[in-house]
Formats: sequence, C-alpha cells, structure tokens
Amino acid sequence: MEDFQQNAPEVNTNEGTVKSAASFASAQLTIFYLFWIMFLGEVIRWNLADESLYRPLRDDFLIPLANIFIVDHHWVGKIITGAVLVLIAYVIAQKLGRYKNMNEEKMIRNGYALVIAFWVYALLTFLYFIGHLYHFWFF
Amino acid sequence: MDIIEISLYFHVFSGVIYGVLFLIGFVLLLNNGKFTKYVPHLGIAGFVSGLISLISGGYYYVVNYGSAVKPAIKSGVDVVVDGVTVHVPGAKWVHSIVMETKEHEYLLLLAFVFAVVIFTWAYRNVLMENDKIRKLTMWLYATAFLGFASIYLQGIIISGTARKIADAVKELVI
Repeated sequence: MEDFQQNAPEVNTNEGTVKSAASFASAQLTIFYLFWIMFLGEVIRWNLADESLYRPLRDDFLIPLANIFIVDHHWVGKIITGAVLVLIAYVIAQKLGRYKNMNEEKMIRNGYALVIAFWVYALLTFLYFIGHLYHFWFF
Repeated sequence: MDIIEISLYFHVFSGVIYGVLFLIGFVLLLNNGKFTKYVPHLGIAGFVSGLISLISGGYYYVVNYGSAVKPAIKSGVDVVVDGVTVHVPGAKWVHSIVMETKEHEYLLLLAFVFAVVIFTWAYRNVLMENDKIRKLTMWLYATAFLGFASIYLQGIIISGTARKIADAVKELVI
C-alpha cells in the first residue's frame, strides 16, 4: 500500500491554473460585452437622424432596445446594466466551458490582447466623439 | 461645504488614490522585491477606490454638472451688464469630445481593472517566481495607471474650461 502511494501519479497542479485562467477569461468576456453594448447602444440612441426614413424603426424598436441597456443614459442604469452583464457573461463563460483547455501560454496571450483591446477602445471612443461633433461620418 | 462639493472632492481624491496604488503596484512588479507579494492587495484597493470615484463622479454629474456646468461649457453664458447682454463663449468640444471620451473610457477602465484584479489574485502565489506572469501583470498595471493618467488629464481640461468661464462671468459682474 505504502509502495503504491509512493508511486502514485502526482496531483495535477495545473488544475488551479486552468480555473484561474477560466475566471480571467470570463472577466475578459465581460469586458467585450460591455464594450459592444456601450458602444452600439450609444450609436443607436444618438445617431439615427431625427427625420430619417428609419424613424419608425428607431422609435418603436431601436430606442426602446437601447433604453433597456443604458436606461435613458442614466449612470445608475449603466451601473445596473454593467452588473447584470458581468453575471450573464460569467454564467455563459462557465456554461460554455470554452476556456477549459486554457493553458498558461494562451492565457498570457489573452492578457496582452486585453491591454491592446483597452487602448483600441479608448482610441476608437475618442475618434468616434470627434467625428460625432464635426459630422465626419453619418452616425 | 455642501454635498455637491464633497462628491467632487471624493471623485478626484479617490481617483488619485486609484492611480497611485496602480503606479506603486507597477513599480513593485518592475523591481520584483520582497514587497511584490502585496501587488494583488494594491489592485483590489485600487479597484475599490476607482469604484468610489466613479459613483461620486456620477452623483456630481447628475446633480450639478449636467444641469449647471454642461450647458455653460457647451453653449457659453449670457451675462447682462448695465442692461447690455454680453455672451461669454463656451467650448463645445470640451464636453462633446473630452467629457464623453472620459466617461466611456472610465466605464471600460473599471471593467478592465476588474479582470486585472481577478487575474492578479488568481496568480498571487506565482507572481514573484514566474517571470512571464510578472511581466504581463506589469503591463496590466501600467495600462490601469495610464488609463487613469489619461482620464485625469481630461478632467483637468474640463475643470479648467469650467473655471475659465466662471472667471470670465465673475469679471463681467464685478
């Protein structure tokens, strides 16, 4: 018995790493949800021209939809939306098990991708608002 | 000092604490000494501080900025001096570009920091030994700090513009 225990395979120490990577990946997923909801929500809400052909679509569908997510552009609504999205993203990421095969190398690559994603978002936001003010583009 | 002023001070003060904590974390990771083990704790404290800054800033925005400062910055202020209306010009771009970018960047920054905190906490035991993870964490902390620096700079532009308009109005009235 003692001999068997001595020769037993080592406990898989990667398990903790994989779990941590899954948590990190869930958090990343959350960020991308927030990115899209915030950005698209703003675009839909602000930028469909008042007298456009799309007015019925805007009034009856897009604006109510955008309001669900950003609750009349109110900061409390944004915080509540953010919290709900965090939960949804976490549950989806866990259920899908998409990150089960995550290893350290992939996870590190994701980490650097996150750094780049943040700066791309910041730059896009800045450019978007410049264009919005000076009407460089239709939205 | 009223609640509006207090919320503004809280917004700035807790924002600066957030920035300083992530800067300290970055330097500790860079040097990788005996204090590196406290980096995850700094991250958590920084996240909480950032959250306080966001909530107090949001309160200030809703109660005062949106109704009093924003219209002045966007359209300027009309002041009646000796029966003559004098227009003090605003700076629309300051709100429409700088403030809007600041708002949206801040919301994502905290979501980003949330991921950074989870990551750093999950790897707290190997942070000092695993060089690859330490370097990645260093970049994540640097981004968290630079995000703050960018927001802080934008805050200076906004408050500077508001002050400039207020001073111009004061000069006309006095």
